[in-house]
Amino acid sequence: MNERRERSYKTDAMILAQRKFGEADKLITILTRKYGKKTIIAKGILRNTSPLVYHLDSLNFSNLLISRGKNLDIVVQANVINSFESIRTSYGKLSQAMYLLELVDKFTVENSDNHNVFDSVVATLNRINDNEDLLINVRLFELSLLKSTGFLPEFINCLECLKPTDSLNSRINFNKGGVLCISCSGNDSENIIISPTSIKIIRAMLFEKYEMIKKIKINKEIHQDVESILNKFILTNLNAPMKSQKMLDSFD
Amino acid sequence: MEYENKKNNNFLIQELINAFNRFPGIGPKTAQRLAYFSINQNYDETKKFTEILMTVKDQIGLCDICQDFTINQKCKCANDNRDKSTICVVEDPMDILAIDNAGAFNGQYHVLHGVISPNQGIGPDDLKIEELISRISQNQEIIKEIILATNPNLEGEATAMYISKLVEPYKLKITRLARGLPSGGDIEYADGVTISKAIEYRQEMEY
Repeated sequence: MNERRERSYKTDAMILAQRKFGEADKLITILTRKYGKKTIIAKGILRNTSPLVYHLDSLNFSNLLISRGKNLDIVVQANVINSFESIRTSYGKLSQAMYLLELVDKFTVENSDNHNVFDSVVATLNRINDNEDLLINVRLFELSLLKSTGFLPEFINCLECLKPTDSLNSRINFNKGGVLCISCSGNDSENIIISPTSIKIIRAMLFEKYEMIKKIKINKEIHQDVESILNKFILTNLNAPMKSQKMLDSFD
Repeated sequence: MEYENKKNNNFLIQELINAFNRFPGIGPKTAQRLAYFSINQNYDETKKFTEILMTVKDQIGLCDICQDFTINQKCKCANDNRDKSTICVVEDPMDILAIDNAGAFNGQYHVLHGVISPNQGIGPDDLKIEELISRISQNQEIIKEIILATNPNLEGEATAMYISKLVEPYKLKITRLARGLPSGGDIEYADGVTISKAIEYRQEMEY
């Protein structure tokens, strides 16, 4: 049976954001595995008696029953599966989680399914909630998001000669989107020297399994270097500042 | 006037509909209804409406101290009957009305004009947080307590946590509004977090 004809559908969703709409309604931005990012309307949610209010808070992972509407789909029932309470009560985790939600919102478009992004954000939030290494998980998520949305920079082969680069002698170019070998990098001031350890860590994060990565000991300086490399690529792609950055800075 | 030489009826009515449509929560149909209501309304009523609208626009601004909307800087934070040692930090001016109507608070307010919500493009710099911190630093001897009365949702909690980190060095009492069961509510229909908060913040009964 063609699902498009069904008047309502059930789905698990990450609640990304919400804003007030009309007298007592809210527009909720959700990310689902099957339908991608969507904006739906929650009617009467601002009233104290609404049974939906708790289940549709941002950062919740909820099961929703949604009815198809003429313009916007309407959420009829909601049941929270995981509200990530440990994240909500820690400033460090919360600021990183808000950063993740902002990244997801900015890198995805509405009504375009991308199950990799959905799986990755749910897995990352679960790990952060379970007190696994916060910063490593955020970096892994950034790489996974860039990869699944097609924005992943080239970290293996030289952008010019396409040959594998030596991690000891690599340069990085943020505007071109990847690494260059020493012989192709020339004197261009945009080609910046990248630390061999940082590039090795990024490559491991891209190709090794999570169980392997979490065993790697990364010191603070290297972590900050990896963070700033990924951050520059993200900002180059977005062409706009991240609003959650100031919260992250005050966490440091 | 911009519209005086526009003789086309449809153009003028459509412009009026568009003007109403820009208001929050007003869709195209409601905008149409409001536009035709305004056309049918008698001249004096319409004049009164436009006059009050322009007066409000001309005279109301933000108070330098509490950031609430105020006429000619005479704000309720200048009222000596209010307790100056407690500042209640709220998201919107409408929250002040709700708290004042409850009659349980007689301190001063500070309006943030929003909450941190990166997905709506609102960061800490877009709010009146800097004004709050400078207000606290200038009145350190007077202010004893900051009540963070942002909404109990993710954005409200994040904003409260962010402000509490900034206020921490001033060694003030920082409090958050209690969370729990609503008056007239029913435990059977309350969600798990509300019940657990109600148990966590339970109060001893007075005999």
